Amino acid sequence: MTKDILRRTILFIIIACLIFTTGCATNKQDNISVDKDKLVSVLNEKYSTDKNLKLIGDNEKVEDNYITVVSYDDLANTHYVDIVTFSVNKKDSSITFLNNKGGRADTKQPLSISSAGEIFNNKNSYLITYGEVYDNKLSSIELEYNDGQKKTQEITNNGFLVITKGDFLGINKLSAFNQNNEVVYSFP
Amino acid sequence: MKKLRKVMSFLLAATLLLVNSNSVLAANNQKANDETWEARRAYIEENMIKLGSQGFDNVDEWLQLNGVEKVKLKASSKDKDDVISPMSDPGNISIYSIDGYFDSLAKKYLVKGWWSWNSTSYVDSTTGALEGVALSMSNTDFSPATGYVLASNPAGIAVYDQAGNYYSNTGATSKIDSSGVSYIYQDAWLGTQYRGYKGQAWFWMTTPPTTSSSNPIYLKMHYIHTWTGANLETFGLKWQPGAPPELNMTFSTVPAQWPATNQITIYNWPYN
Repeated sequence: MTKDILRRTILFIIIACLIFTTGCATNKQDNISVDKDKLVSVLNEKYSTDKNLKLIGDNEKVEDNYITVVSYDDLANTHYVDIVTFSVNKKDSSITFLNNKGGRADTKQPLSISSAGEIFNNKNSYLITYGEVYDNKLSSIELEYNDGQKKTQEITNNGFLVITKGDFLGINKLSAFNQNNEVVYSFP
Repeated sequence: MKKLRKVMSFLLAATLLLVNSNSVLAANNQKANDETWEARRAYIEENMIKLGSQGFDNVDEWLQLNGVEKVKLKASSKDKDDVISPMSDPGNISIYSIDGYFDSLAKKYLVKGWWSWNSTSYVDSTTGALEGVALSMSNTDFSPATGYVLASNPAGIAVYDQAGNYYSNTGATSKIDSSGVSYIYQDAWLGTQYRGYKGQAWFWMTTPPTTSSSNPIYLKMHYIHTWTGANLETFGLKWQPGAPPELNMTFSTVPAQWPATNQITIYNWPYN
């Protein structure tokens, strides 16, 4: 009887350990390619009351989800830039829209730029910086964070997306460069 | 049987240790969160004050770059406008850029507004009594807004002259009265510059007031300028049933003074 209980206890501990390690292993990132046509189709449905929807910049994978940047006009021709979070099914590559956020963008400026803070899996904090570029002389942007780290991002599809995880407090400076690596715009 | 007791004792001890370590972990996490928030807040306020010398739009641009969303910029496909137009109040002073914000990194809420004199020819060369500023959140029946939680030590104010120089030594202090904060500071003519020509006041919340499309709130900013000397006895927001909240300052003798106000209406705070 005693032995039996001891065996059961040991078995319970082993199973608990297995569950714990399996749970940890699910954080491993899998690289699944995003089907852009499928993504555009999902977004067109979500933004059905808007027009001129465009994917700008590149997609980025953050933990279990993906983020992309879109620009569009509403029916009153006001221009907007949003970030969209979506997931991709590992089995059939189907795309599920999760959420969007963003705001108006002034196309008379060289570029629009915004950031949004996100917490993924209830613990990891990210600052997602994104924007659309209207001055075609611009070829890259650089963000300088308060802890001194710098991130440079090429402008692709007239936009950019920079996702930074960490304990920094914010962005001290944005610089935008032309192809000759000259600063064309900076703030502040 | 002895083995069984030992195993049970071990499991009990392990459980107790786990529960205790979780409590300690939670307390440590809270402390770490508080410290992270205070550091983030100091960073935001430092930049708000620094960039404020160049004007409110520079502050707003920096906030946008740093994940602090303005209420009116938050939009979904179906809900483009969260704010209606402000009441205008022309005069010697303009009250403007009254806004609500959401810090999407720290998950905190900010209310902020600006004042600026419209011309240096209007300012007074004599130092009068203290100036007063107030920010309030009320329901449309002018009762205090509900559902909000102010951050600890929520208020801040930054005072500039017409050249944009920042003054930290203005004797500023603040007071919470229900769903609003009032501030006082000393303006002064300094030979060529007027300390108090423009400025911004703000407060932080951990939870925003309850709002909806049918239950918006007013954000009101109230400024009182004085230009003859008097000792301030009390200051604070006055909430009277059916009347808009007002900044109330009482003095030993009544100084020459006039008020300026402005307000916006907010239907939806940007929730994450």
